Amino acid sequence: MPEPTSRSTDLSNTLYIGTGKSAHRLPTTSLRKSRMGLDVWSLVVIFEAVVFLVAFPLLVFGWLMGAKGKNPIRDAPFESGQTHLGEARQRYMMQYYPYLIMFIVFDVVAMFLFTWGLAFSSVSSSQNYLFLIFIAILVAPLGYASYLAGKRELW
Amino acid sequence: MISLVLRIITSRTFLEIVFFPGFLNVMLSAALLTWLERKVIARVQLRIGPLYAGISGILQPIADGVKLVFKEAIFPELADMKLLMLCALGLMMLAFAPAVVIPFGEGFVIADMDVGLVYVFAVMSLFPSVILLIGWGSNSKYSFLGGLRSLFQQVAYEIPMWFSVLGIVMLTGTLNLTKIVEAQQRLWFIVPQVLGFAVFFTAALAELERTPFDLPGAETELVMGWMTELSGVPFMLGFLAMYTKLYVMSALITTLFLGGWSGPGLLPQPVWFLLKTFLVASVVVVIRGTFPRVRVDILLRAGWTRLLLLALANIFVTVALISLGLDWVWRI
Repeated sequence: MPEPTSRSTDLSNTLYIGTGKSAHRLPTTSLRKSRMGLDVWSLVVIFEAVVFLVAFPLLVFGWLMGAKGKNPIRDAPFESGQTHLGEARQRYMMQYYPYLIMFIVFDVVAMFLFTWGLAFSSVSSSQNYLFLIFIAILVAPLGYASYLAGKRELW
Repeated sequence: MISLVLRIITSRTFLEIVFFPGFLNVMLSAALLTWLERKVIARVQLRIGPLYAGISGILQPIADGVKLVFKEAIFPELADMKLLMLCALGLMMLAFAPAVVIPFGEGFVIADMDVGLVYVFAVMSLFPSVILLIGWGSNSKYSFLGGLRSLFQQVAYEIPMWFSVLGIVMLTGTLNLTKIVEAQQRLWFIVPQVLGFAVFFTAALAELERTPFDLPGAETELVMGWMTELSGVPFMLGFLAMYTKLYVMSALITTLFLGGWSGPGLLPQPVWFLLKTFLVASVVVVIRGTFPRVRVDILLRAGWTRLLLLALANIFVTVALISLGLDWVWRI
């Protein structure tokens, strides 16, 4: 069973967002100290190590257990019955390349967006509207990228 | 030394990581989801599904696992065997990674991260790279095209996913998943964030490569896409990774929109959480049996234009909500 959460009146744990009159006190009942002296990221590493320790022996076991034998017909890449010609590592048409570029852009925008979302309540509304206008302006390059990605003959 | 080992093994941290809600729970849930999917799809298609392994076929995933371990892993002669095996392992580890932050009850989480939400999204962004590596390492035209399409699809739908949870971040002012669940004590976030929920659910379906977005893995199109050349244990790891992702995304949807562990109190909190998670997963499975597939260029265009605009609309709705002063409902 989970250990009883401490409803602390000890305000050193308290997190505030915003300052002054607009400060909101975040709920602290779930703030817990690190477990066994481990910080959060060590716990992630330990968890991943557990997954690795289970999956890697499975891989090794499967490799050892499987039958061995080379057969050129069986070892050919699967092309629904056709004999394959040449390697697959060639040049391909990247018709949706503008979308990849827009992903890079919107990745950075998302970074700012999360920061803005966290500080939203404690910042004056005019600045919030400014950020919303910034996001709205970004729709134009998105439309252009979408237009470019539809032109198959360019790529 | 022995006492140290004993102290570690019986500590709550270790038990949580390895058993519940950690590794064993996720693994068993993923295996159970394969069974659930086969049964539900079968019923949708007026057949029965697995029947003979155990009661109502519930031991079927174990039977499949044992079978796959003893099969030979056949790789094409031009393929990079070590890369494929390592990437299958990497997929598995990536799929398990978000499970450390998902809370099962009050204070019942493995790692209480203050940036939990962003951590989950960061881990999920690594999937397209690994999938592309598998497609490239397979050295087969179908696999590589599948990997490429999968990359485009997942990258396209990650952006609406991030934008759609911004409403929740604005309403609670935190990224900590435990606090987000606590903030839903009065009203679950699915009510004010209906648009956000719809966008997140759709984007999650695309991230999981489930129908109607499973073009990279559709049998009539690309055989199995990037998983074509995996077999034996690497295939089992990739396949399990897909269902682990399904479980983790359902758990995330439950945490963010459906109130996490909250329930009337008849049952313990983790039980409520698991009930809701499996409900969401069942909806995903039923959608698989119901909808046709979406073509890839329509898929990408819809993800980049319409879904993103819907997510932005959700942000505007949330801004309006906060301006009206209604956000006291979610501030404890």
